[in-house]
Amino acid sequence: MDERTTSDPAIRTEGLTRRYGQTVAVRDLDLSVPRGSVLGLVGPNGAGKTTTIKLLLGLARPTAGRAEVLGFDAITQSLEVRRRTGYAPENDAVYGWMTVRDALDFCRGLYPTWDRERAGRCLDLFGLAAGQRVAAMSRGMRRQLALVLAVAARPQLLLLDEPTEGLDPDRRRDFFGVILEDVAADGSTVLISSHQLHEVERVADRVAFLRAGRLVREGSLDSIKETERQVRVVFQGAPPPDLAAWPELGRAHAEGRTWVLAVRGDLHAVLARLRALNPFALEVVERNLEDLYFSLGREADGDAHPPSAD
Amino acid sequence: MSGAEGDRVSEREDVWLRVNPGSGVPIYLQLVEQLKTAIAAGVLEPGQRLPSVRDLAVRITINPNTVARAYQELERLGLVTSRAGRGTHVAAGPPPIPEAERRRRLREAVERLLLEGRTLGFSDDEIRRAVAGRANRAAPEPEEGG
Amino acid sequence: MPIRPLLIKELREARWKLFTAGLVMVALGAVIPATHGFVVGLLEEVPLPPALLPQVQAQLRDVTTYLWANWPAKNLYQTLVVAALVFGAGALAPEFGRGTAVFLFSRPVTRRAVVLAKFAVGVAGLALAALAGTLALDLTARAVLGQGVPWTFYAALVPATAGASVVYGIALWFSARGDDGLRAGVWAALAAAALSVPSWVPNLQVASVYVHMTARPLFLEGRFPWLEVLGLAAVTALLVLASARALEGRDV
Repeated sequence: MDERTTSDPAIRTEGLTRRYGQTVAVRDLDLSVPRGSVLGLVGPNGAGKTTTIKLLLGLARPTAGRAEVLGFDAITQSLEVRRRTGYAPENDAVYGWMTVRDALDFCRGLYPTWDRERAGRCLDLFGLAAGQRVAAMSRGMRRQLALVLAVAARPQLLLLDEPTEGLDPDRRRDFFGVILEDVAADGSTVLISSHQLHEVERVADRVAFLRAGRLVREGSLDSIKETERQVRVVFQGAPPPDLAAWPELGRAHAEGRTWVLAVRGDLHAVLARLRALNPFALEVVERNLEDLYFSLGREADGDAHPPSAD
Repeated sequence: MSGAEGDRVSEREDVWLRVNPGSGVPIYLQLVEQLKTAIAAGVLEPGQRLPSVRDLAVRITINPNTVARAYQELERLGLVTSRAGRGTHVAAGPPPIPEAERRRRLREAVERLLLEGRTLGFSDDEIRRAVAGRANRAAPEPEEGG
Repeated sequence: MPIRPLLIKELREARWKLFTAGLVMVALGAVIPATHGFVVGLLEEVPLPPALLPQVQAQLRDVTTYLWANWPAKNLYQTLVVAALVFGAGALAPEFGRGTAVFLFSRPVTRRAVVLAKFAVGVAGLALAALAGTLALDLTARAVLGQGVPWTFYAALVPATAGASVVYGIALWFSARGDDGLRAGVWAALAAAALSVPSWVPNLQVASVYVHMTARPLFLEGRFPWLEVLGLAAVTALLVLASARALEGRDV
């Protein structure tokens, strides 16, 4: 088998575009996901998350652009991609007539890297019995089965589409435990599309915001948090007249007497400059993923900023 | 895999390591702060081995890269030492935080306190008295919530 | 390319369909010899034009002719065509309708391998069902009429199955384009009906799949229709490849 160098990114897309008639599901997507990272793919419904994943797996064909997965072309070398990729689709897709054992047997024969022992451990953790029929399972159990099938092949890349829908909190934790173990043990790359922003925030080290098929922002979660900080300030009198011209600042808006300033440049420089004005109150606002999600969404709707990497 | 000692350490970690992903503070910084506190408070003793990146990541369900980044930051601060193949250990001796850094952090804490107090409508004098009263007490009360 | 898990999956998924087809074939095969006496008696009471009478009676009294006329020349191929339509139409479209296509095609298998596995299981099922029916015919004839069927009945299974795979291929092609097995079946049945047009025109019978399925040269001349079988196999191969192509160009 032809192994690509591990310095290639796990996923690289260039101008990836997919149209369905008049609608553009994915628009000119340039994405690069380094190996060993956990990428959270977040965005509202219809943002193109599922289509992106399907394009990576060769389940859908791009209208324009190209995608490379683990160093293989997503279309011409799709089989090589799928050999090394575990995928838990958004909808429960495992055959209803299969039992857990049938599903495992089916997949074991297809993946040369299948790990029986890991499959067994995951089943035990989730409390899935080998004789259970898929048709008789709850939504959550099917999600767990899909994950077991995906990780037991010891994939180099895991693609998880809304993986925790229908899971209770305890199971979610177990679920992510399995994924993280996979990442830590094998250095696998993981892409999780999710609405559960707090979950993404916990397990992901990178995040990509999609909106209307477009990549709004992508990069390391920590550095996005660090560069998307805001400062809340209450001036003694009127704000300095040249505030809008400060190079380190992005948007500034007032809520009553309180000004909220988006800091794009060096935070400490901004703080020093503001402190010199002897403000009544000065505070750094740390923003979590949900805050960023909404503010980047607003920016995208206004089409204010091009996507930028960290 | 951690040995017997590692397991003993790990059980204690679950008690004091609390990551709050919903806060805007990057998770690696939360980890750094909590590990610093644990070292300062003696929960982690000099020479004690920290759990491996993988163990800790799986146990508290966060990304291994985040844990690794926190350990790197602690090492940069001189609080832990790590040698290839031997894991990460709490550094012996007092943590050498530079004087300027200590002052900067204290100033930030005071600013936060002042802002909170003023927002609640206290005068600077009242805030000063509250701080002084608190400092005179022998032991701090446990914090509420998580 | 690991094709074994695909074959096992298709076999298990189709097992009730295969079983039903086998059962229908066995029932039909057993009924034909068992009702021979009844049919002969019935026809002797029907007033036939005197010119035709000796010919019809001779045909009826000759057991082999009677069995051939009712099995390879009639029930066997008709049942095979219906079963091939059902199997072929149900092969791919329901994978999309049920949403299992996402699971199947995200595994490391090519779409062509999936199509080939489905085809192999479907056609093997058709052949086995036809064999079971012919065995039932043979055994019942031995028990009731005191004589079995000659080898030509078994040899006739080959052109019958080859023709059935053409029909299967047509149904498969429609199935590769839709989400609904029933709808694919209806379209395939219309196409299959259109295929019967050449059998009504004497000069065009060479183009009729169904005429070839009845293996006439075997009965009339004792000659195995090699050329016809090869022709049917070639048409089948084209249809299966076209189905695989249609599937490969499709978004899941």
